[in-house]
Amino acid sequence: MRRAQKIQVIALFAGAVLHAGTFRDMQQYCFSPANKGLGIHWIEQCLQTAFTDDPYHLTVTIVAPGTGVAIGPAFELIPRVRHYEFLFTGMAAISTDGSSIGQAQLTLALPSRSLSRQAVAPLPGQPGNRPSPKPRSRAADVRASLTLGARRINARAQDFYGIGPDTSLNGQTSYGLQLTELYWGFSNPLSSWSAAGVNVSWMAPRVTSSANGELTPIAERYNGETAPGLTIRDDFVHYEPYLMVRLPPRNSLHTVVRAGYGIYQDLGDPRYSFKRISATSTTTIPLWLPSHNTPTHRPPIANLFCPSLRSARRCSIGTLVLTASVAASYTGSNHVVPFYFDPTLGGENLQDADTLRGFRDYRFRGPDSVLFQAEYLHPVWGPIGVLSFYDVGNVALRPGDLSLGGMRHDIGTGIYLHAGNRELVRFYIAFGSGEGSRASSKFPAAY
Amino acid sequence: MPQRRLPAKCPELPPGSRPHPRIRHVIVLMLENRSFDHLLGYSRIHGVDGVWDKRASNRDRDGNEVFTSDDATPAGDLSDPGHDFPDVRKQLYFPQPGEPDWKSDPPMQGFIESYSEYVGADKSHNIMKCFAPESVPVITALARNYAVCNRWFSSLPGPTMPNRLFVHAGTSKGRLDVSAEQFDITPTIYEILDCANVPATIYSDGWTAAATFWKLMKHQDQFYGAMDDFYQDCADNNLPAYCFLEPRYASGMVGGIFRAQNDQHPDSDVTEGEHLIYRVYKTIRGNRKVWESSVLLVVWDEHGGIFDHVAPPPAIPPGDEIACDPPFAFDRLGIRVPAVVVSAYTDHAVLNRVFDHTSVAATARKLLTGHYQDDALGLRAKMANTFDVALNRKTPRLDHVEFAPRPLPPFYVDRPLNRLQIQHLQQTLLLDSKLPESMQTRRTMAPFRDLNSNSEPARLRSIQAAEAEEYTRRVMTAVREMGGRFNPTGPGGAGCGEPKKSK
Repeated sequence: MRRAQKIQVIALFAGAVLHAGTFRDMQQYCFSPANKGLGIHWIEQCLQTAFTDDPYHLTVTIVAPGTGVAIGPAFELIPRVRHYEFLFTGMAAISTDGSSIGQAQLTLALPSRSLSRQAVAPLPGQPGNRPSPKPRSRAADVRASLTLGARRINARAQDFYGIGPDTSLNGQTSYGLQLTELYWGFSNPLSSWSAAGVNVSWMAPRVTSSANGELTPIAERYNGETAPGLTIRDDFVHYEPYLMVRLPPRNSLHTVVRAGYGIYQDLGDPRYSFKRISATSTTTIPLWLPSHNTPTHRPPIANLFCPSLRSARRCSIGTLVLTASVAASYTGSNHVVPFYFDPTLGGENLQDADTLRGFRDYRFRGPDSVLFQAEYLHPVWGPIGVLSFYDVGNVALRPGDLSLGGMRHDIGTGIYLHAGNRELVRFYIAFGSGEGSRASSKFPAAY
Repeated sequence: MPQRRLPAKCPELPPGSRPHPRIRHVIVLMLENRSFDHLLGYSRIHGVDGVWDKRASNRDRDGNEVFTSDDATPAGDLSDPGHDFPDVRKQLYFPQPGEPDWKSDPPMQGFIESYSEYVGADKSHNIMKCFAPESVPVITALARNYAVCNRWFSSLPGPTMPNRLFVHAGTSKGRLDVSAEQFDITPTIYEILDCANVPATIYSDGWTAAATFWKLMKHQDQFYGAMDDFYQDCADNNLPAYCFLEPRYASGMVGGIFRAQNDQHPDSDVTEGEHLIYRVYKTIRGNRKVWESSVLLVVWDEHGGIFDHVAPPPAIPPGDEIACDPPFAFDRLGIRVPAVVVSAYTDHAVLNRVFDHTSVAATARKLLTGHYQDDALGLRAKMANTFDVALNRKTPRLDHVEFAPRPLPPFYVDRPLNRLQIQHLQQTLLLDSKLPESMQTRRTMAPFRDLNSNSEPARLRSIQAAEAEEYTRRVMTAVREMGGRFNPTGPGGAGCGEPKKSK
């Protein structure tokens, strides 16, 4: 533990000293005696400098659910080589329980030509024109991109309650997870409303002993049969072609669907290879009321509860977001899915997505899952908004067992802070799960 | 409950003023720095005053006569030709020495001479190059199918900023130059329309030339939006009545996606701008309710130093202030620019009336409130011709005009900041300085730490274009995050005084 704390302190200051400009800014805005007169704004200035300085700054993120808030250095560079531009990002953060994450990623926006064809129609009225098919054109801003990256996660304490829908709190154990990943992805817009791509990664997941001494270690209660993959130390290759569709393409009221077909191949023991079909649909529904006056012609109180849209013919009373996601895993006979690749429901999952927020993190785990969520967001004043939500979902051991019966559900409410269209942080409390209430905070976008 | 009003002096609407019965949206897309002949001079549209059917020329320094040609390429011909007031004065009146007689019609013989000062004699002929219609298929197709303006001139013989002020406010308050601090101007068309409870918004893609209209910036949720918002509002049939669209003035990475400059400012690729025009047109055309209730004007702010053969006519001064050094009474228009009016109520036409950028505000007010002939935006806007004459149909066109832009250029070509981008940067630095210190972006971006709006242009020129674009976007985001709390003040811009006080 002492070692982890040392690393944490080093990481905290690494971002500042890496770069002379950052160091100078930190000196000026955090340690200069001239700041004494600024009162509370001194802290604001210091934090602003620390978390947004360019190209090096500090970052706040979550390594994995249950590991606390992680902080560390990050950078963002836009190097140029001849006519190409790149986006190079990286971060290293360590959390309060000693868990850590390190990631570096390079994104290259490719030239405008992509897999979709373009055609130029002849000018109307020009001699010699032949009838042409309806011209096709893509939006100028839509370009294919290539991503390369590497990531290392060390989550020191992760909860495990067993596999399947009928686990209980009494079965709670803990394990550590180290995941090393090299990945590349290619995304190609097909049209203004669709894109296709493929992700390929090499992964080395390792289950380790938990740092949480208060919980029973996973190996004392479960074995390779009840927690598949617990005893192996294999590397995996993961391929996933996917398709994304947004319909209608430009309306505020729209649905985004992502469907992928993932192949997980165990490079050691083929019994742990499997395939997974996953799909997620997110429907965003802006809620409006009619308004006939521009904001300057309306009482301020009306603007408070019903922020005007630019047209003045409507004002916004919030946004309803409906999400549905399903994952179904398919294995050969005698094959199993390693438990750390199972979808989880409860709190947030390893991909930092909200699931059944009234339940503890990873409360339900299974190779197949279904989840429906409804969330209402309403900006109230300045950067503050309120939210409420309802989650319902379940896991299953076989795709055929997925059904709408016996679903787990919860409700919750909270507040969020946003800047423009970007949500910075949210605090919420969820209840109705039958397992007590759960309060949590989340940073949807890492700083 | 008291109502919160903009501090604009609201003009009275005469009794009986009625907005246009069918047009509920006036949408203006203003691009950068191309002359009429350069884009449409070889369009071969019957009635258009182009150069394909005549021998328009300038002489180079060796006395050779150089004619226009239709071999302009989308990028690579020009390197930001001079278009400040002294440059344009030379383009208009060369070879007359000294201060010209602005009351006489200019011979239009100084384009090659002016450009020679920037690039030397070898490349100066490029200023005469024009596009073949195949090279600019979008604006050509719109001109062939809707109403093209034969006589739309920039509002003054000068650069971008004061010309854009004329679009927004009907005057540049006597300014010909481009320094950032001048652009606190009021009232604007946005305030005047708001007086009549008519919503209006400036949609921009990063930087906006109206970023330092402080009185508007205090109500930015109402008056400013992003270009992506425009596409969304259009699809939702939720457009404000008056929409002013600004292109992307510089290339950069936005959220990890490369976005290319599409303002058509030389020497950016005109194809990018063609894609922007195409997308705006298609978005409007794609929603039938919007299509049947709107009029779109595609226009350029000024000629950018590029040749045009039509001498700009005398003009009515705005009536507020004039310029002293150099002297100019705003009594002659700038060089001709392309302008095309697109609407469901417009059959193909060639409009021969004289328009300038004050026609935009005049037409918007006429269509949206039923009244514009008052002193709210100055004398020139009061007397301006309105382009609603292009609404020559009673029933909406529902035909689909089929055309498409040329493919986008395959690679991004890095370029140094052009002069307009340097002005953006100055304005952005000024805007940044108006934010609370804790939110100032320049503190967090190393290249901008030691800069301010008064920094020397040569110093600003050392900034990379992508960095400047990133900085601009961050400042604009910070301003938007401030919302109604943003409360800047600044000196208003001015020339040297009232019209009679000229030196």
